Amino acid sequence: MKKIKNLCRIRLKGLNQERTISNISKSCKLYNLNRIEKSISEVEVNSKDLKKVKAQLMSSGLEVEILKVSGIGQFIKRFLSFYGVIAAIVLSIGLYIFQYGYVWQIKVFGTEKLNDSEIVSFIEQNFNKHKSQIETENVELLLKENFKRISAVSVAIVGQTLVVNIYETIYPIEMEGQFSPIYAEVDCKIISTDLIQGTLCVKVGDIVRRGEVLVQPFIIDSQGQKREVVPEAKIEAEVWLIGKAEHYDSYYKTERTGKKIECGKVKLFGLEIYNNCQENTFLQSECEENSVFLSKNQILPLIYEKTVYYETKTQLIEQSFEEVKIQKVEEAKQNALIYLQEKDIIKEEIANIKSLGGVTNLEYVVTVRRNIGVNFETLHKES
Amino acid sequence: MFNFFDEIKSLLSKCEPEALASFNIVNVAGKILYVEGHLGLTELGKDSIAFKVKKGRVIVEGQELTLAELTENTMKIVGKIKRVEVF
Repeated sequence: MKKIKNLCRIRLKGLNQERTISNISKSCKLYNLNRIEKSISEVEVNSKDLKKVKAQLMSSGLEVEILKVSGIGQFIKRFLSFYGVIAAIVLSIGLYIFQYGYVWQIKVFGTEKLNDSEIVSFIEQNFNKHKSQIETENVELLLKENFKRISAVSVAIVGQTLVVNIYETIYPIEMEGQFSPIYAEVDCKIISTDLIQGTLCVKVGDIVRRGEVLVQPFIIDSQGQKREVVPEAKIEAEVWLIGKAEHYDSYYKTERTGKKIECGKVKLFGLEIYNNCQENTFLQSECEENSVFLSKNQILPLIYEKTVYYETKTQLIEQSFEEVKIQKVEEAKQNALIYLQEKDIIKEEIANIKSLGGVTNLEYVVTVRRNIGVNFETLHKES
Repeated sequence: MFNFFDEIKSLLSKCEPEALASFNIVNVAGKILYVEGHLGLTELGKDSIAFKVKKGRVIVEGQELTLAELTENTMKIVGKIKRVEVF
């Protein structure tokens, strides 16, 4: 406490000091009075009283010498005179605040096949180093879009480091690498092939199933040696997009009338302790049940069971297919067009209608022209 | 909170009312001497410190004495206190 106080140690020289000290003590508090020699003594006073004490001592004919000034105030005062140190501290704080807003390091974890430096340089090229301008969700999306190998990725900013955790896709060994075959994307009929590199396994007019190999990743050279190559080909096929719809000439339709009866029960350990049930008087009804815990602990597990009975009415609906034919065809068509892709060219549209025993099945087939060759990664991703 | 001096004063007020209005000295283990009601310092030395009190003078003798605190009517003397005499 004494060290925190702003004390000033002064030396007094002269005779009859006791009288003067007694007088001063009436207005100021004095500390640690010591007699050094017969005419010399030392005393500590608060810095704020120094001027007053000094004046009183000098007016009494005593010589005053300030020996030491201590305390936190003095420390701050002295410290503030070190301009260089202050400037250095201010500069350091400023630099620290400035650089804290930036990401200085990118750490990538979980890579085996992928190259860390490739990912780091990709992030550096596409994103600013300033923390506020890096949206981790965007980084994750872009990484996933640009690196097919990435199965899942999470990005977080920890301090001044961008931490990227990657989970790579694992393929079967035979499908690994750039020498994977080209597979059929869908069930289709081949209509044109344009081989660039590899061994073609299909010809025009072939009907292939999804996943069948179209181009093998090798060639047999003039010496009969098998040589691996990156398969490349432009294969177009007719793809059938099928949409279905059904119609019944007559059927029973059950719907709620809007009337209901509610029944509530409170149970404890399976035993019913309260209920406000009314008798279900509906001729035809359906019910919904749900139960909730009334207490949040397991000490007294009170359960409230609520049952609601809805009155229903069943009626026979009769409608011939001809009446709704256009709507049903449109419904089947829309179901087929769900599978339409961006670059598909529609060649033909056929609606097949089969009626048997009052049930009409409608199948709408859209034939499109599509490039069907995909590599394993895309096939795997789509499946 | 219990006030030692006030408690003594209230107990002894009937016996010595004048004496209680004078000064109080508390010697703690011969190392700290607390004085209340002094009227001014008369002597300051390493071996003795003297001060005036109402109707008298007190001399404190010892070794390495320091007047740790001094206010208008209280003082704290620190050191090896051997004797306290009231004249």
